[in-house]
Amino acid sequence: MVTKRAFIETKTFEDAVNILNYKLTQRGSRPWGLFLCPVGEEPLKVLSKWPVREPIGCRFQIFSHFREATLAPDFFIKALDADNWQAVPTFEQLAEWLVTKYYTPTCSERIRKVKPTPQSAFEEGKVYFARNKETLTRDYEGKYIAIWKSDIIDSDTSFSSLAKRVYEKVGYVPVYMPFVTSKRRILRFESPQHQRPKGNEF
Amino acid sequence: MNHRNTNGLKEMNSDIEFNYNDQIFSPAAPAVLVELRSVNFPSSREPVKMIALVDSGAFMSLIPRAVIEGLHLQQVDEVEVGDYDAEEDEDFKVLPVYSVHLTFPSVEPILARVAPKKPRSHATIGRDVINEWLLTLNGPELKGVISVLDAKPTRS
Repeated sequence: MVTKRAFIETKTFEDAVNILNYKLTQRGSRPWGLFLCPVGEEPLKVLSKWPVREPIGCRFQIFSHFREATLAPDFFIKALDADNWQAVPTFEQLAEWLVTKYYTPTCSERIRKVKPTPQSAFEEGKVYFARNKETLTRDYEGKYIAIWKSDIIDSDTSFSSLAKRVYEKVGYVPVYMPFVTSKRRILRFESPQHQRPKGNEF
Repeated sequence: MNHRNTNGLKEMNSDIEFNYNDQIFSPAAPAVLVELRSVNFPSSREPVKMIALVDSGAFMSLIPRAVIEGLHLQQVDEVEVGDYDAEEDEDFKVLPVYSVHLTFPSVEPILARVAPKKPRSHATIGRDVINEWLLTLNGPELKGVISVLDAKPTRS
């Protein structure tokens, strides 16, 4: 099944696709906008809505189809003066091409940030933690903390207690809840695998 | 009835006695039957029930990847992990960590952090959970007891 104009969520593109929101133009019948944002970082660029009479210099299409029971997108891009569509392997590359090669802002005052989706909020939390690790380690050493949209919303020495409160507050969504320590945490599963007895099946 | 033993620890009356498992593990190993649920459905009448190896050598708890996907668990962290013989950087890999509603018989359920594992035969309870217990292992009799203390140990 091949469809257009699908808001797609897949394992392979889950981070990027979660925040991809687009509308395809219908032969200029209505304006459209596209918001591009690498997960967990400031928006690479945000394209505001613009009149369809001012083309961005390229066209792109996103097709979705089932690939091994997973709805997966394929990206294609073509310059207006080019003859052929070119397949783009990743969302990141599509975004980079769109922004660096074809984007000319027409209404910069309309540019606005993309609101983070639940998955991107998790990634946002990871980035916040990485950027503020020194301060957070000083304040929360030995504790689990919950980071939601770049805010520390709770902390506790018990993960179970922390998680219960956090999920009551924000719902059961991906929330970044790391254990804060100044040590590099490399977890080791010490026990070797048992030897399967011959002739037995599990 | 609660009372204090000679170590000054307050004891709960909700001890979990269990037998070692020799069906899955050879030699027999301490293992308990646990129930796994999505945090969204803590009262689900159809939890995933499975044997969980009580492994004090494991830093954290593990459950089969298929269970994580089936329960649609949400991610809470990432950790760098390695097997018992991991030494070089390339021996370690980054795994996602999820939260799961974990129930042991006769014990108040907890939300636990779990990482995925491939084998589906059993889960693993690591030190992140074990260190909340008073765990007694009787090797000769292939039995064990888990005592969940309702307070931190007191020292006179």
